[in-house]
Amino acid sequence: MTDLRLLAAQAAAMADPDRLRLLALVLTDPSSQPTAAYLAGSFGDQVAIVRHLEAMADVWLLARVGDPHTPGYRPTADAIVRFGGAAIGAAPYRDGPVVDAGNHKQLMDRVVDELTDRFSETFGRETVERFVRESYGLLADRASVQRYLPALTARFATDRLAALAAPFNGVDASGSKTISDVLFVCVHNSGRSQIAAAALRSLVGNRVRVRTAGSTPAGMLDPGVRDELARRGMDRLAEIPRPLTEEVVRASSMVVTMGCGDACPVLPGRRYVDWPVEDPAGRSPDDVRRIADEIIDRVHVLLAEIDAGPD
Amino acid sequence: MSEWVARDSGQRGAVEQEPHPALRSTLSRGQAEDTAAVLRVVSDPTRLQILSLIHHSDERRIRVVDLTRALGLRQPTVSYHLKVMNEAGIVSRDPVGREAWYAIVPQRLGMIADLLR
Repeated sequence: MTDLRLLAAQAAAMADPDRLRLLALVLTDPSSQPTAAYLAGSFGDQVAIVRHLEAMADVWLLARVGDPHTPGYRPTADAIVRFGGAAIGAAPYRDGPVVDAGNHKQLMDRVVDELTDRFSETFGRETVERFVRESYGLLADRASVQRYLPALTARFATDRLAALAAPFNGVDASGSKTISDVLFVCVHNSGRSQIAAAALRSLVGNRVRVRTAGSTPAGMLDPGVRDELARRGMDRLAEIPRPLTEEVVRASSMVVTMGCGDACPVLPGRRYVDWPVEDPAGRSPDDVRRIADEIIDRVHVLLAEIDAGPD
Repeated sequence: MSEWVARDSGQRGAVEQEPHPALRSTLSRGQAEDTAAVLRVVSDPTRLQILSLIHHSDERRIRVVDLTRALGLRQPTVSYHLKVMNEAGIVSRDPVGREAWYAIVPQRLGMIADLLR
């Protein structure tokens, strides 16, 4: 029931009037990926807004993009499809979408052109066009989003196509038991969990959702680990160290811990695995390399298990 | 429904305060609170599964016995979830003879259908 659990976590995260309104702002933002500073405007206090945005990112409703220290927050397909109407203010349910591309036609044609280029290796123009039209139809159901329809459609169609281009990254509301997301946890989220996450990401792309967290996160990646990841061409797959929250664990179906012991909240239904791996912090380059090798071996084994499916 | 919202709001300190200026959107405060209350009730895998079974059933309505069979849960558990969702105005209860049929309240259908997409 992986996806119902994620959906439940998403609903819980969005069961807050402020977050619904904030999501509406993100969804309708012209840049499509506003930063917390931008959303807070000139009022200065960003703390609450960052907290809300991060909580939404924890359950895959927002994706952090751009500079990791001042990320932009981009709504995911889940956010648009599942909560777009609720956040923006859905029109009362009608029998079916009434689609009239009208003056949006030119814009939509341009979106089709761009996406056809972008996905030229995977999809033909007809497929892209069908997806854009369908996405437009789904979103056009709500009168209140008309103004933003072209931008939302472009984003939504892009996310759906990207999900399709990767093997099983789709959303399965019927409740698939396949593990589709893994959370790597270590103490500082600056070494072991970063290596593991970068390795898994490099192997699976978007097929499995990969996240990391630390029980007491460091301010930045361990320099030795960063160098080692760079040497392997994986440094772009690391992230800024983040705190471990119950929310993150709740939205994960598999949790791999590396030395964080009791600090990791244990919730029923998740699969927990503990890897006894040394901490590479402050170790010599050779040691870091050896530790990275060990973690990457374990990631290969883990991926084989995930691909083999549930017991 | 209104009673449920009031109770829910009381538990959440942040709701009492005015939102940050940046948090203003086209959604009115009342609408946002109403939506948040519904999300709070359905933020449970079993309830979402019940809603999914109702939504994807042929007649868009279902009996407790259908749910216990499909979910492998005991009748009191299923009835409890239905009762909570009924009181929250998400699910309607329609007695027919000795049985009750449960359906998604039309005003909530758009939102629930979105969630289950």
